[in-house]
Amino acid sequence: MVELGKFALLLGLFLSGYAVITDTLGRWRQDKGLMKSAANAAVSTWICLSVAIIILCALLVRSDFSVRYVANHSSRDLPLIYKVSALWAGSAGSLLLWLWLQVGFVAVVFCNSKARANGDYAAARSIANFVSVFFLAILIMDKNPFGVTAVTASDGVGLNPLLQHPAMVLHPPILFIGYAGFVIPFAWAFAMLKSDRTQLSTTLFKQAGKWTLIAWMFLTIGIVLGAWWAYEELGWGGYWSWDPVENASLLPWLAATALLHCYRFYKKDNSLSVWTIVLSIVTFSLCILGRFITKYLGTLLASVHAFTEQGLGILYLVLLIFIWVLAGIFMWRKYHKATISASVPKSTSQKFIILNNILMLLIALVIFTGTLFPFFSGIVTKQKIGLEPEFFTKLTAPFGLILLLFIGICPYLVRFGINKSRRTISAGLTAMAALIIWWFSGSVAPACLVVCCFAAINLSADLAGRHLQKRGRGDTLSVSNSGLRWNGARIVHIGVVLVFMGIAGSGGYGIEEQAALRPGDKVTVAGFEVSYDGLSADHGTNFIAVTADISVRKGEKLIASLRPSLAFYDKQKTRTSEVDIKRTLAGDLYLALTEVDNSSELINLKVLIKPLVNWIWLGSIVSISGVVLVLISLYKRKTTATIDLNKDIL
Amino acid sequence: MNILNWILLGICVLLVVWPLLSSEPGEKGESF
Repeated sequence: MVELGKFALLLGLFLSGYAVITDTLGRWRQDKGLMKSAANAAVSTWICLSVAIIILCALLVRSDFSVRYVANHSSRDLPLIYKVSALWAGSAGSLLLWLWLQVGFVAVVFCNSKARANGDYAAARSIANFVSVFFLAILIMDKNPFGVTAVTASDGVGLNPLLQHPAMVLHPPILFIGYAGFVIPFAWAFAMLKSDRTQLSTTLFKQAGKWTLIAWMFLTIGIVLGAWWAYEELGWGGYWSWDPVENASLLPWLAATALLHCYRFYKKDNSLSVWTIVLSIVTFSLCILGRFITKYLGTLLASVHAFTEQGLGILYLVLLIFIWVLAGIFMWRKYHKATISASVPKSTSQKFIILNNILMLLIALVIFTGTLFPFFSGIVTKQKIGLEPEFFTKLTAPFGLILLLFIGICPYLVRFGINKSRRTISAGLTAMAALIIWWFSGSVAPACLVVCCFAAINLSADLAGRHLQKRGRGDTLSVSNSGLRWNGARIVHIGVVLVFMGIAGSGGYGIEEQAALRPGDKVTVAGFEVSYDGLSADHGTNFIAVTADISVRKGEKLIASLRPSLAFYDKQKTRTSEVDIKRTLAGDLYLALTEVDNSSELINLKVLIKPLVNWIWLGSIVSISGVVLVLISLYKRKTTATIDLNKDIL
Repeated sequence: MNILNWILLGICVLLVVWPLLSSEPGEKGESF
């Protein structure tokens, strides 16, 4: 089995290399046979990677500790679900999964019957396969998941206990679907740069837009799952610590969000073509940079994610340099041939989109600089200087507030521009009110809530206004595609506003108390009477948990019985804090055990009140629902177009 | 190389070579 796994990876490397050469040659000679062969080579690469993934999965499930990866990331007593999730717990496994998804995207989008012998698709395929070659080379040379140990251990090291959480089963693969999906707009951007035509194809960009939205949706779900995991598992009561690895996922998300706003105008004319192309390349580059930060700089930047292994991670940087040099050459060539011109925003709406993009990229730049600051400071001063989370919060907050204000007013400004209407004046007044509140309170949270209310009211008014307009026309039964898309986009933005409300509420108005308690002791936090009743022990599959029984009362009424615990993992000689939470829409009562003395039953209990925190998860669900509506509208448009075409033929 | 390696290699070679053998020499591809 191990031999087949190794062979599958080597064959995959050869096939993706063959696909790059054959596609380039086929496109140059306009040879259908070569291009079809290259498309099949890409599909064959995916088959090889599928074989490798199945084998690694089987080795993990069978606990074959003769394989180094299995010995380092699994153990006999690990529950089955975590044995499978160990596939993406290590550097090699996660790269294999990313690569499998990426090649899968390439096979689905660029190797279907319509695309196989098409020159533009061949150009897109060749750059996507080039990235696959690089990733495969890193995988085989650096950390081959099928490397064997000299002596077979009787049991493995096991999975990091922090990763033994349902969110961690889903978070990495969903995040990787997002990262891998951005290869589609990236490859299209290169295909456009390679093309000699002046008028760039809108058909191709529509397709790139659809896949960007799908990738963005998965990346968003992945990021939110990561935040939820941090909130539930790490026991510190937060969901975002501006950790380098967290920031690495936020950077491509910001660039992709900016990119999604550009597609809307690309469909109308080509005035934002260069900007769209650059953003497509930036988004995927930031995914690769994220990988570099996670797997190479993680330990250098003192990330709390202790899952980093250095190895040949520097090769990701080499790939990035190569991509940008190549993009620069193609762009210069295209500019020289006058088949591309600099982006000039024509309408007011385009100017606002550019402004929105600049704000997004400025936030990304702040996060990028802050994340890599310890690395750069280490080079310059020989001393690593880490930045506190406040650096990120303080610097990104003003941009975030402006973007929130834009969410509320942009749909209106895009249509009517800046004028003396009630909405423009109310936006100005809201901005002034937010600034004054921020200045006097010294906290960004109340200012953020004010702007959130403004944005929520405007978006809701837009939705209600359109609905009433349709009812007035007696148009309630029909849901057109554009209507679905329009409503979907508004719902996405309402979700974002809800997320910001949750962030402002939980960050600005949270309360934290720490208390040492003996059985029978009580502590009162924000009107909640928290009583410690006693300790009990629970046995899990691979851990022993010491659980505190806590009763929470408000006045005389018992409102919750919570059981926070400390789980001890004997194999890893480590412990994790398993929190217990009383959830309501108004906020969470969050209990975490930090210390336990078994003999005296003395505990150290952390009690947190997190107002509005559930609005973050709720807003995320609302946002994703909006994206699904937009995707349905795109699918329906495609189906309608096909039906219309069939009608014409008949 | 065991039999499974040969099977995988065979499938991939077939997939890659088949279009080269089945298409007409000099058959032109298209673009948008």
